[in-house]
Amino acid sequence: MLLPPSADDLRATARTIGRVLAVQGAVTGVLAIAALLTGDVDSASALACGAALGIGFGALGRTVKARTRRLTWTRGVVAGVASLVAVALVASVPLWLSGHYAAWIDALFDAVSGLTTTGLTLVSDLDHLSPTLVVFRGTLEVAGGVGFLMLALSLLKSLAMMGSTMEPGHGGRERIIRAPTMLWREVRTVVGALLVAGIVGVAGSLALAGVPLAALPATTLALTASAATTGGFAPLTPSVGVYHSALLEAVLVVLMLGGAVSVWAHLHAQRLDQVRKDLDARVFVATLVAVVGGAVVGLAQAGTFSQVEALVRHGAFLAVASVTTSGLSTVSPRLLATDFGALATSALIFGMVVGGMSGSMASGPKSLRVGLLLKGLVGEVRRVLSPDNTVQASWFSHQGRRERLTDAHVRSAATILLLTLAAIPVAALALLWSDPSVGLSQAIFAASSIISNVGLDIGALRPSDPAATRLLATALMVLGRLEWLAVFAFVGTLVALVRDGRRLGRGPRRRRHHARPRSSGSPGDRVALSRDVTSDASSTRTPGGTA
Amino acid sequence: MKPRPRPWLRSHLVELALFLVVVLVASAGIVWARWAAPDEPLERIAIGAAQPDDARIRAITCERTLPDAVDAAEEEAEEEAAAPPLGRVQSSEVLACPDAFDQVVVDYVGEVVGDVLRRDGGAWLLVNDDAYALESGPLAAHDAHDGANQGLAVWLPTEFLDLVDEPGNASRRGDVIEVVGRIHRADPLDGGGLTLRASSAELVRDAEPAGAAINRPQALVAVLMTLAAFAVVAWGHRNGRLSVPGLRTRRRLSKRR
Repeated sequence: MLLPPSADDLRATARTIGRVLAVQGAVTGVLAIAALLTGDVDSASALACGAALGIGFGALGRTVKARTRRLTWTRGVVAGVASLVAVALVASVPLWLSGHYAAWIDALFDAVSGLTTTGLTLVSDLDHLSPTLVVFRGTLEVAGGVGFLMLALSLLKSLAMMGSTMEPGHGGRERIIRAPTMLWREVRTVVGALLVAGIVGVAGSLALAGVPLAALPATTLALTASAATTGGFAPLTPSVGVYHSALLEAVLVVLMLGGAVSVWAHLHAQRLDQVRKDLDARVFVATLVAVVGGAVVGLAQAGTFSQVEALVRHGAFLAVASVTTSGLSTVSPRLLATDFGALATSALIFGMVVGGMSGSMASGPKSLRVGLLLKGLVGEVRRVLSPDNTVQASWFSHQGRRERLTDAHVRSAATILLLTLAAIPVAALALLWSDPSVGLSQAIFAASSIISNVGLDIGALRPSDPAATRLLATALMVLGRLEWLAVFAFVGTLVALVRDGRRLGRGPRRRRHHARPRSSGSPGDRVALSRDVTSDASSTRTPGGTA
Repeated sequence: MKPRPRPWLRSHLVELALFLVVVLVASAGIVWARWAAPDEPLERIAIGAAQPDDARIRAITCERTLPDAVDAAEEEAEEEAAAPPLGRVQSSEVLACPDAFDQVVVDYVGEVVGDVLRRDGGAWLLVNDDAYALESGPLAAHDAHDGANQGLAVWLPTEFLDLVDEPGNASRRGDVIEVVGRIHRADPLDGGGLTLRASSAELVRDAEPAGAAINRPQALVAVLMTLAAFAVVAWGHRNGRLSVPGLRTRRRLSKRR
């Protein structure tokens, strides 16, 4: 049964949203000043509106005082989802004010696309968009990539227990066990190194490609953010292909792979024996090899390219872009639809549906889940073929630990994969309904790209589509990025809040009547424990009631 | 008997109502700023319509050239090379059916946008022929949305590079050029990209500024919202509820005293 949040939970959530909004507002403010210094007054005022909203509402949220500082899994996820919604709403303001979006829904779509590191866009006239707004879109990708990474790693214990990145441990009450400061140090080390290396590599290759010095900073920041966070927003409509540079494409491939590899693998890169045994890493590499092979063979079979260089360059780049869920492209969306043949397109769809490693900035269902499901299938076949009295046990290695495969692992992985696969036809049907000229394979490709937060564009989703389709696509991006269960928890909490909100009391003070904390831990522990125990006791009577 | 606590929602009704009022006022300001944006589209560039009567354009279909037919296609391409230019084409036609235009000499008009990527022997350009390029200009100048951009990658030899002074960006429509050249569906010199290699080029129109007028209502809303945001921060800081990096709160100060 879903318990309504206490008043203190709401306060803690408001504080979290406030902090996130304040950071987003400060970054937007810096960009507004940069736009003002370059004489781009309209972009500066648009960004200043976004910055003011972020800082203002962020300050309001931060003034709320909460007694409980430690969050449970459910409350942590609810705060994460609420922060995503709040930042998307605020970030859509400067985008809409830029005048490059036909409707506010399109600006919201792009904000969500950036924050979920999808990279699909409904912007009009991107090629005339201000450089500061191009960089602003990049900051959304960094915020989303790092934010979701922090959220996923906060639940690392759950990840190890359940083989998923955002799976509750026990009844949604397991506390988030990783200290945010320690996590932040690890994430900062990996993401910082990736971004710095990316900026150097991308700037160098862009300069060699002939990009003028004046355009170098904005283009470098946008492309680095896009590749390293597996976002996919490009500064110009033809994406990476517009630079005609094999060196740049090679650097971006390295960055995309870096973004899709888990933080754990980055930090343990010197202990290759452990990384080699890791189920997640194994499935990721196997998927990458299969998709690159499928794309190259498919392009050769379809006669799209006859030269080896072209086959490898385009096939490998797009395959990496699909598996790492970055969505950068070397060809125009129309060419992807008309010129790529069934095998190459299918290989790319397969790559998108698997996604990157868990505990990385990549999205998609994740290679770990596919690995767990495959191991479960193999175990099941073995069990069927073995004599009745044989006990079969499967083991897998994940993040340096050897663990026994349980039904819970397989069930958890299968749930997310099935939900993702079930959502693809729904989104494809919506796209076909919106525009009958879109082909079925095109619609399935676009649907996979939306749900797995890849962003490879095949031209199936346009600003001219009905608002319902664009809203559905926006919702599916959120669902895909938050891995379904987190959104279910958020919606369930909202329902519980509306259902029981009228009875909502003042939280911990009221609950002292029912139970006393049994532990002698910190005051924060006592409050949280009291709440959990009381919730159980009161759930049989009136939820959250005082009687 | 202990008094029953007031329901949370009722006790915070005033704060929630105030919050909603702030959200509504901010939204109204943003909507006003958006709709008050200047609407001064640029002059449409008259370049003449494409030549739909050309029998070869009508004959073009989107059937793909499979590997078996590659040799035949190459032979056809050689025949095409001797033929006169096909006429003016649009990027949408080429992108919808690149195979049909492979190795065909065409006439193409568009605005240079992005960066001029200078290499040995010439430069790569992105030349757009969408509505923002040839009709109403960049969106900074108007509010007539026409979807995404569309254009072709053009290789311009060094002798024509003087024609391109200012590529298009957020504040101007770039130089509009007309090029005659051969389309390569998978250009071997560009790692398989779809390109148009120009053999001649001429300037149709110089670059011109777009959206020169500042959106004053938007600037006003930005200033007001910034002031309001700083007022909230100052209020929180003054009450000791909000710590601002680099500033000490009043409560902390008083403790030290």
